[in-house]
Amino acid sequence: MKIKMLKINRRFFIIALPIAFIIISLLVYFQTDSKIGNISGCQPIGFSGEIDINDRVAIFEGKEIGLPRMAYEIKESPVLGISSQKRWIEVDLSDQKLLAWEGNDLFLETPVSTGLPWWPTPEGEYRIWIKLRATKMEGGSGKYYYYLPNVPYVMFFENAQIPGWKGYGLHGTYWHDDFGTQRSHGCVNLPTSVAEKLYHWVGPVLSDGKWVVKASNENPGTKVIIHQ
Amino acid sequence: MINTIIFSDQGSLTVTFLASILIWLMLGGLMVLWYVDGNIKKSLVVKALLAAVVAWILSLIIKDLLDATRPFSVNGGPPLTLTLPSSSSFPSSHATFAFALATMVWLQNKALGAVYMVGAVIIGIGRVASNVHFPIDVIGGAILGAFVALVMDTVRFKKIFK
Repeated sequence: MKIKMLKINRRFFIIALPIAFIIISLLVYFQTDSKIGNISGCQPIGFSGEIDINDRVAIFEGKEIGLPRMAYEIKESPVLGISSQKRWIEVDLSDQKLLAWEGNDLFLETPVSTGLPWWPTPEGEYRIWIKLRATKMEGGSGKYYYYLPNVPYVMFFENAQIPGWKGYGLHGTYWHDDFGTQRSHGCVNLPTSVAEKLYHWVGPVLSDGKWVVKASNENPGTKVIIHQ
Repeated sequence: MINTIIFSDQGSLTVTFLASILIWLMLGGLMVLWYVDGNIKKSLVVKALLAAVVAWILSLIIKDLLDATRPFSVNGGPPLTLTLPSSSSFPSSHATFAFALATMVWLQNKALGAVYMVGAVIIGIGRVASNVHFPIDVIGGAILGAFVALVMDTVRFKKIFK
């Protein structure tokens, strides 16, 4: 009798377990699309490029950080003329360095913070597709929640494999200064003063008084090469 | 490559132990039982290992098919396992392996099986606590592991030993 019961139980589980597993798998499968949709390099919110002067407290690693003046200061943009086609940016992930080149001449070199091993900055050849004076970045959850208003001098790049909406870019950083070590969620963190210089140097060229510019055939984005 | 964050103040060695080391202790425990002559049968060890390996391979195939995102890619927290997982999230292959092992042991030896079940549950909790799996990945792994062990215990060996 007991053996018979055991056999029935076994049969029940052998049928029920795979059914349960398939249902759960399907659930996971259909949920994954929405989860992936949320993932992006540094999770920018909005592409207006405008500074929100009233939003001056960031939250990062559980701490509140007051924004430095540099981040939200409104400056007259220097007129630098047309960005040269010979300009390109090299990001060396192993050395945690960024080099800005004009042909063979070095425009600037700076330590940077790229993505942590579990949120790597993707290697490849990109073009800057949009340039913004400022953007808000928000993401994570629980104690890893971050809220970064007015992230200064943002230059998002893209290529065929990494589309623009993923939100990988170069930008100024006011919430840490560990440049030279991996620290970011995938973006390339630059010291704000360097980001400012770079922002005015790279294409697409920004018209006077504008907060944002998208690259076009007439106003192309500068090439960005990211390698180990 | 060792995940260095586990040694920082963001890490927890307890969580890393449960998520990454405990499974090896469970495996080691079986090996010890293999050598120690007691009331444990060698066939138990072989069956349990075989079930665990088959279930584990299945979990890797399903991972590839579903390509689910890891929690650390979504919630902004670091993974706290010994090494960084590069495969997809669902199902947890650790949970699959541990539950296949535990189920097969339990089918042969209830007392030892209960210990292994507790171990498997703790590993599952460790995988979630270390931010490399969602609870659903562990539940999926547990179901898959238990199922493989049940099938292998019922169908295959019965035919061979009859």
